Amino acid sequence: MAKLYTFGKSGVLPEERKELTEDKKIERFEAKDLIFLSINQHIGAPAKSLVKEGERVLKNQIVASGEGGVTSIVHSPVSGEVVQIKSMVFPGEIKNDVIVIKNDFKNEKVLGTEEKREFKKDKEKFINEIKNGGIIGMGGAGFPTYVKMTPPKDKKIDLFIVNAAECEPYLTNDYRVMLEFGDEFLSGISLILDNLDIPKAIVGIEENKEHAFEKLQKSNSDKRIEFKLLKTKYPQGAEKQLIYALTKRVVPIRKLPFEVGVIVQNVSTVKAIHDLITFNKPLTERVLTCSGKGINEPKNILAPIGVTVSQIAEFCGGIKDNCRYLINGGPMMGKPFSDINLPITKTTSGLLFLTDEEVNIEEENPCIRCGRCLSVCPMGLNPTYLKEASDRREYEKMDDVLDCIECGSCSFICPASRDLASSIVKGKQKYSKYLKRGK
Amino acid sequence: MQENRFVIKNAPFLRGKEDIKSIMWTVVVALLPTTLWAIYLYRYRALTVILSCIIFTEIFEMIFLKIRGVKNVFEKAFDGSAFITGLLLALNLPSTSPWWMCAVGSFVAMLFGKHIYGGLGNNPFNPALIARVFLLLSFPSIMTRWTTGVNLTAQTFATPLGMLKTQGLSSVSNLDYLKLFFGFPIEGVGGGSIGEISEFAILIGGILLIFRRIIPLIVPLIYISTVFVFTWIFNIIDPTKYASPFFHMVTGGLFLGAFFMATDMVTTPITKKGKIIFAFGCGLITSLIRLFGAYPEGVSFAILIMEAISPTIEKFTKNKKFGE
Repeated sequence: MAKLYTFGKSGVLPEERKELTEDKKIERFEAKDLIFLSINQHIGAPAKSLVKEGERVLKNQIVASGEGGVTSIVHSPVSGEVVQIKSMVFPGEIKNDVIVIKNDFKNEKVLGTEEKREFKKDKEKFINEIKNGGIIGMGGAGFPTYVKMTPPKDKKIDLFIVNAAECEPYLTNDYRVMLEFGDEFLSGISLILDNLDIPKAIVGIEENKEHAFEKLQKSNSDKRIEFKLLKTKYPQGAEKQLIYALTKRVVPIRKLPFEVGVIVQNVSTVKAIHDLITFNKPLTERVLTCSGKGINEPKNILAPIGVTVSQIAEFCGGIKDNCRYLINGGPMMGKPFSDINLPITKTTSGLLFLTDEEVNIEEENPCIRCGRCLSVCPMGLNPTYLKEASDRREYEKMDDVLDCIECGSCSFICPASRDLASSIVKGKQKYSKYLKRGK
Repeated sequence: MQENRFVIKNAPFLRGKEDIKSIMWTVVVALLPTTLWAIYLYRYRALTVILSCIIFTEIFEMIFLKIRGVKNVFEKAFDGSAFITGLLLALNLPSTSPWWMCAVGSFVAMLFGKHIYGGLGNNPFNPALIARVFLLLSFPSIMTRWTTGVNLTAQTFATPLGMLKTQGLSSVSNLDYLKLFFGFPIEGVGGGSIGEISEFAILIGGILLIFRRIIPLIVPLIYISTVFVFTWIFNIIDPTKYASPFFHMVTGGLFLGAFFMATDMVTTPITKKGKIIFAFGCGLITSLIRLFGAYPEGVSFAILIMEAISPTIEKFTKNKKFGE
């Protein structure tokens, strides 16, 4: 048994529930007649639509692009006609413009080849391609990848970490990608090391995915890549915790990983980089896990970005009558959806259809100060204190909310079923606004 | 269309299994060895005290919950917290306590110990301790009527700590520490409160709570070792005047206090460093009262005093953030 890496004593152990989909092969889901592309799939400035209603677009054509230091680009996954640009309400009452494209099923494309192309080592070109390929962090946060790859000049990056922890329960999309697209995944890592001049890569995989760990280790021929097994614990895949678990390097508070010479990318992002660099394919599709006891046939799916929840649900045998929760992402950090007509985005790692049997959120009770939230918080915060301060807008006590990574461990463990994490996340927004107002 | 069939709640959608009820009732289970041993030793007297305290505490809990306008009164009243208060109060009383005094204690515990502050989670002091100290000051003679146990005559005796305080070290020099530890009655020696006679029984429950991660080992460990070291130092300085540290281990309410009251979640610091300081303070004050105070025993006072400064301790013992 190999040594298991982990990040200390904090964190929680939710039921994994990956058995629903972990042995299911990725099935390709072809685009239906309508595609809905949100212009705001990433962190940073929203992109702006470059197309007009009635315009014809080709597959892989850029339809929206943003301006500024941190933004991203959206491509069409199909060829067809832009029929509408409308506003849709996403979780958290966030309104985004959505470009609706009617698929003409002709598959006429601008970029993308079936044959491998040669890519000569060139850092600037590489990062530029990644920017123009619309690649963002596909683990859930959606941070534009090209920004992560351009740290300040005085920061030397000596390690690339692949986040293959997949610590969210239910989700098996990264696991399946590693099993079924292992060569592409490994080649993606090598491309990143080559072009960014990084000497070493570590792939951190949770113990419950040992099968992928062994398979990749066997097929890997790049000596720069090392594989490490992580303890199955939540939130093992949180960036700072993962870096600490694998290297014992501590990212200073409110700083980014490049401060300790590290860049971290998720499994699907690495695979997307491979597809982009090798086949000139921009990011227009992703693998996601569709799971839960509220869907008839849980599956791992390769789907075009912009297909709707209802289309995917139909592909998975339909939603069961006892399905009460629809979640975009994992059950710990995912967002609740109320509308099955919403589309999936580049950050949709999973769509969960959960029943009352699976979700056990009880009514909130008073805090009994048991201290469990403090001991599980991977950032060493005092969640119950921050919740009180956030709910009451006591700004002078709220500064620590900015360090919250929103993992939800505190709410998970709370015996009084208090919604600690969501209060603190709201507190974060309140406090940021307060700071912007200039106190 | 079934568009709006989905419930909107906040992540995380999975929650742990431990809830307030499971924690509270586990504490009750952990108190069972002590409770059963008390009933075995003091028979109907202990049973009367325990039942009166629990029943009256639950009744007053329901009344005050109702007055405060809390919903689901019945469910809240049996979340286990009031039951623990009642049971802990009983375990802190002499076996000869009359039922009406138990009722008064339960009333004080629930009103002045708990609901006046806004109920569960908001009380600064352990309700059972507030009630015990109230009764000790109001009914000093009833509160110090100690019997030996099993022998059900009403004859009362001083506890070992009382003997030490009033008659000096020689009066306790022949006591069998092992008997005291396991809680076997000793002829002519008062057993103390019904819950503090057997350190062994308390230890069994305490270990259960530590393994169930309901209380941290560090609190009883530091509390008890502080008393041990402190009394040991004085025992070394003058062995003819100060009792052996082992004597202090097996007498009085030290174990009951260290495992079941200094670990009260609501009234003690939430941070780990804070808990350590709290436990150390409890040990220090307990020792000071036992060695130099007017009262023979100081556990209740020590814990109450430390509870009073608990918010301050907490303020100065913030956890270190990751990356700080």
